[in-house]
Amino acid sequence: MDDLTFRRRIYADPQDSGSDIKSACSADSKKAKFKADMMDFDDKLKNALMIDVPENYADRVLLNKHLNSKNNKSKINTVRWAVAASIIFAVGISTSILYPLKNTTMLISHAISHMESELDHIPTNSNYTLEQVNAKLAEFGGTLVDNIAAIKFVSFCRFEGTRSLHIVMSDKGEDVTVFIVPKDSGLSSQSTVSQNRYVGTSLSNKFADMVVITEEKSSAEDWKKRISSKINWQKA
Amino acid sequence: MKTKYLTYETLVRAYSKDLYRYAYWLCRDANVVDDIVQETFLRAWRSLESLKDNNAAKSWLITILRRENARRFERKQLDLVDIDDYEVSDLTSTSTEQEMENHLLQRQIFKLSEEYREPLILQVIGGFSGEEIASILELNKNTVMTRLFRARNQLKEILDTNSMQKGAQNG
Repeated sequence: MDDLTFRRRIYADPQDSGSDIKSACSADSKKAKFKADMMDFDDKLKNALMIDVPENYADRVLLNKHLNSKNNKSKINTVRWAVAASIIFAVGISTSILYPLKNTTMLISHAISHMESELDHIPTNSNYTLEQVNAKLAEFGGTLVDNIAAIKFVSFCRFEGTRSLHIVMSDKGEDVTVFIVPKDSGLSSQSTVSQNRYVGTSLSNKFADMVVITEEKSSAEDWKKRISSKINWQKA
Repeated sequence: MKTKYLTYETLVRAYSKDLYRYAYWLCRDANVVDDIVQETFLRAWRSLESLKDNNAAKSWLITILRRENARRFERKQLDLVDIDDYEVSDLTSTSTEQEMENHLLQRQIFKLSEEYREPLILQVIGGFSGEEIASILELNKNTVMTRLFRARNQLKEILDTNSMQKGAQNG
């Protein structure tokens, strides 16, 4: 095998161990050395390409599928609810009773259910930086200007089909869940909801709704104030 | 349904890391990597029945991911990233010579044109053969091998030049 062909073959695939390559290496020590050097280079290349993958990444992917399925079921339930509501409406219940009911239960109730469904999947030891949070928060026009508590989870999620942000903070052993939901989600903001052993509250601005959920014993209201005071909202 | 989920979970656990890395080098935007991979797996779930051969699962997933990446470009022309401003996994300080070399290589890999970078990623991260890469990229094998040659050649030259410059400075 001539030198040029040999080099081209090895550059294209340093791991090539075809019989002609082996023979060429046995017959010519320079070729054998060239192949060895290129295999070393390939190790460096592999090292450079193998960037770090977020911790528990497979679990996050599985969780996303789980939530996606839940959202689809929720949509079906919403359709059923809508049909039932239409029938009730047809028999004479006024819209003034129906619409406040929808508007005061959807956003936070959904948020609490969403949070509960993935409690088992939130990593316990992760710690995200402010920059990592802001890289995602920026999409919703927000910037977290200061650390409030340790961030143990931050990921985009589907919130009734709308791309939203899910953040879990941890402070003195207590978890605080925050959802940022775009205004075009079709859900209305509301004041406070208690569901199971959680309390959720929300805050609306020009760009998004922010839902804050804590355990009942804690104060979601206080957390909402703390968090909202540290987020600057300015849509790019 | 349970069997389907077990198959799916096996795929996610086996390939999600490789797909994340592949997406990272493919789309050059760290903020959208997760989205692309998540959407790839959601699509894979929806069409899992079409995967007839489990041995072909990895290339099947890569093909879905490439389509997903292309769709993103169709939907929205992403802001191009200025490579010189783009820090690549630079969370650790590049104190040792090996780390500096690693960092330099990462920057240069990003600078490769996509037609050279993609087969290289498939070969080094994915472990695909020339024939498999040709099939995934819908190219003939000779073209793939030429691109692989050029990709490594460019990277090696830069690394060698860098070593010589350092040698000259030190000597």
